[in-house]
Amino acid sequence: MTGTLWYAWRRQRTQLLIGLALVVGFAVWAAVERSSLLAYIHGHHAPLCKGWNGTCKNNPWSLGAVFDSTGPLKLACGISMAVPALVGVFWGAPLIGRELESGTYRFALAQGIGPVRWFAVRFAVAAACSAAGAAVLAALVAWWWSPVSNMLSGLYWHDGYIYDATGPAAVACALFGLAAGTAAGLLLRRVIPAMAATLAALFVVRFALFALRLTWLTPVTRISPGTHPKQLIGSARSAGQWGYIAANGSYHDISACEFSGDRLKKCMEQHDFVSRYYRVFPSHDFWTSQWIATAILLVLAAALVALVVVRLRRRAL
Amino acid sequence: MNSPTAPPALRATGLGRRFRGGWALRDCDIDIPAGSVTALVGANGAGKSTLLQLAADQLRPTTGQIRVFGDDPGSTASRERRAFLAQDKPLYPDLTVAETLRLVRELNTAFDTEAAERIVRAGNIRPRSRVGALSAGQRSRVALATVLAREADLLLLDEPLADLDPLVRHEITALLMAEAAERQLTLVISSHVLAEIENVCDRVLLLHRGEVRLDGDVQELRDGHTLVRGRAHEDTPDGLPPALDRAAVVESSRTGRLVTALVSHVPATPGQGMPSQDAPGRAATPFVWDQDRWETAAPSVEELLLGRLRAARAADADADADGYGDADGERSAA
Repeated sequence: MTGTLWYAWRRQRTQLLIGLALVVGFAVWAAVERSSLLAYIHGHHAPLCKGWNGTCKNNPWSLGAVFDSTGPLKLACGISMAVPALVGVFWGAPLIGRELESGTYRFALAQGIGPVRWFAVRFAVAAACSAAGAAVLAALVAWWWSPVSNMLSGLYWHDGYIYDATGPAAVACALFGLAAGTAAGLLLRRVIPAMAATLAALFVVRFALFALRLTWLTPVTRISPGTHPKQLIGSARSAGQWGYIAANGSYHDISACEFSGDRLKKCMEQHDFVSRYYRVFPSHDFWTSQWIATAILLVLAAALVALVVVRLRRRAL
Repeated sequence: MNSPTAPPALRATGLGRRFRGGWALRDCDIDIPAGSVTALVGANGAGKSTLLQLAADQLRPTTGQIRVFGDDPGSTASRERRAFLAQDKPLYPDLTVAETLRLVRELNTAFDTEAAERIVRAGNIRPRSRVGALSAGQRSRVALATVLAREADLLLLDEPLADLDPLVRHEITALLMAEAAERQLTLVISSHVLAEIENVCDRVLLLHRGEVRLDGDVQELRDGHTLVRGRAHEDTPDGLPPALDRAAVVESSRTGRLVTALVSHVPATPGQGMPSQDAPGRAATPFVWDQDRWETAAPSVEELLLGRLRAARAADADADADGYGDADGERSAA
């Protein structure tokens, strides 16, 4: 390794090695846990089914598989969700912040590279490696979760755990954390306040995206004629809207007929309702929502990087 | 290198730099010829570091421009020709000495590793020591090695000798001078303690509150001034001879009947702080002192600068008292 790459490696060796150790350790743990989950499922011939009211809801082995794996899976999700914060606080904030705080940037910039290259090389290494690490962790969580995904009382794609810990948005969020930390370090010139600012920025952005994640989507309407049994919810997420459709095609709220059995049939006839409906977000909406969140996070990260570059170009250090 | 067509090592024209607190450097016109050793002096906050950082592309000017061997300090050509040692000699404390030298080699096109190692070895510093564990003197030596081995033509050194004990200071100065002489380097060394560099510089540049107060060849400046000491004249309030052009008096003080004064051979133009020593056509016409009453001598560099600094301070005090003062320059310098 030579030139600026050696410099980038030498200045970020600690983060790179700790990050690598974390990813490898996590991978081993996930592989062991997942294989024991599969052994349990196969050993007991536990049927797997989607949805809280799925076809296997009374099978003790299916319930056991979900029950036993949810705890460790939540911990794994928590670790993957912490990646953006770890990257932002321990990699982004010191990237420029530590140099400004200790004055070493004057030494670095006295060498033959300009400030933009000085930043770009180290940021590129940090971005590539933290994105790769975040991607591996997100993929491992998704892989481990897949046998018991969207099942019974387990974890669903729309739960905060799975939503924030897997998928492309988790990777984009790590990049946003890195960019936020870097920009905070440059603007605040001190590492500890930059770390705090990074955490605050991540908290606000993540919270906002989580709150908005379903508003980007249009729910799908599932209709069942007359009093025929409704389709099971499966891996979809209820949109919280259900009711009746009248013969003239108009939609009516569930409060019009809050009964079951014969009384329901009578009530529907009275109101001239011909079918029942409910709205859901199907599980593939996970990807739509994730890609929108990813785009937002990447745009924010790019804006912060642009801010850093502009300030470095102006030598506003 | 000293050919008349070659651009000066450092040239500033109308150079100014403003910070939030005000101007750190204002309207500076400076020419530093290649091959010279210039002492950049002034009180803390005079603008010395600002000037060096502008030359080293670590700051951008607010007004005017600065050129290093004719090039913009941000250009690649200029980057390779100058080396900068920042104040407090920042180095990465977690790197070893060998890694520090490697870093400089990796980040520059030209680096004489052997020379750097030789300089470090001469200070009995082990290459595997961590920089953070070195003494101040050893750290200075490593920092200087990173600068000297760059094979640059212009070295900008910001307070390189501050916080060093006299023995180390002497050792470092000797090292610097040996290299400078051997390689025809241009050196700009800043210091707020003039005595540190008095015997090594051939030029002096005095900054005060962001403005150039004195700039020129040490010998010419000394020849252009007279330090007088003698019995006070009874008929003048300052005790100096009535016939003496007061505009030529840089600074004078009177203690009882004893008067000492620093007198320039070129009277200052009204409204301008600095007499132009180089201005052609303004031949020096030294005042003839009565040898019975006055003892005259060429001032030492230190006496010259102290006189100039005291005069500048006194002028500031008058200006501040009149309400015309602006203390911006003092507060703002980085």
